[in-house]
Amino acid sequence: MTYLFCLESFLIVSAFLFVLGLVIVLTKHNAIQIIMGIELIFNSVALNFVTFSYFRPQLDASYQLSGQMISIFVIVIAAADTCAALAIILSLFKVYKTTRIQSMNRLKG
Amino acid sequence: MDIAAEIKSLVFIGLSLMALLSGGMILFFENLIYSAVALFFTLLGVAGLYILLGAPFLGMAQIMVYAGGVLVLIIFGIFLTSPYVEKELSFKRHMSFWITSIMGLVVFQFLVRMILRTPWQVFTTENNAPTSAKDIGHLLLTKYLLPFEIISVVLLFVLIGSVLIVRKDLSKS
Repeated sequence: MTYLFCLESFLIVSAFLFVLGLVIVLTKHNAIQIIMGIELIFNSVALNFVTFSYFRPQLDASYQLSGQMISIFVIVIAAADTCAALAIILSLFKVYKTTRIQSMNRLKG
Repeated sequence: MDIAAEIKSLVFIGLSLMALLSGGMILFFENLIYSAVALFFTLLGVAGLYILLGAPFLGMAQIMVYAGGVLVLIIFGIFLTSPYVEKELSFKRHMSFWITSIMGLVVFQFLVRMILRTPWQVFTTENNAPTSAKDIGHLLLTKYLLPFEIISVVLLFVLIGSVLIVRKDLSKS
């Protein structure tokens, strides 16, 4: 078996997660599934940071902690983001009675 | 090649397959609850990858914040909005779906070529110790104190703002 525990394989997994999130955001009709796609994109970004913190160019351990710290901030921002997005979707649902984004096409009421 | 590297590779394959396959299920399910469960397994796989990469604190934070918080929030959102399920797939929607998927695959193969052709300068990481929560906490209160405080203000604003958005208009009633 080839040695798969390397930088490139993690980056490829992260790239696949990113593309998957992108396709979900572009094709799905339901606003909540679009939020899920955005979560996948956030995850791929955080995974990239952790990957580069592990396979780093210097031996210095502070590089490892820096990447993980940025990933923690990414996770917190993603949680805040989802909270705000769901609030917007719920208030849109009050007006349109659906979460299908194709139906949300009126400027006033 | 030693046995530890083999085990690491196998665990990597398992976790990434779990993350990627259930991520693909989000794309193909139309039922929202099924999508939420698939998202749960994706998040779990990514948390496992974090732990594999020597970041156990981050993996646990991922499980607690995402699987425990964000996913419950999403399921709340699904239950509070009406269960909108697409009954029939029109031909046009089908076409656009496949066209977008193919475009996504093109972007993916572009990214893979870019990753494989770049000469990465990786220091050998044979004895890469997992980071402890103590180090992270120490760094949060020294070097990253300003982002830490800013992010607490951001969370407060999001809390107030989302309550403000979804509240009932009390002045009318």
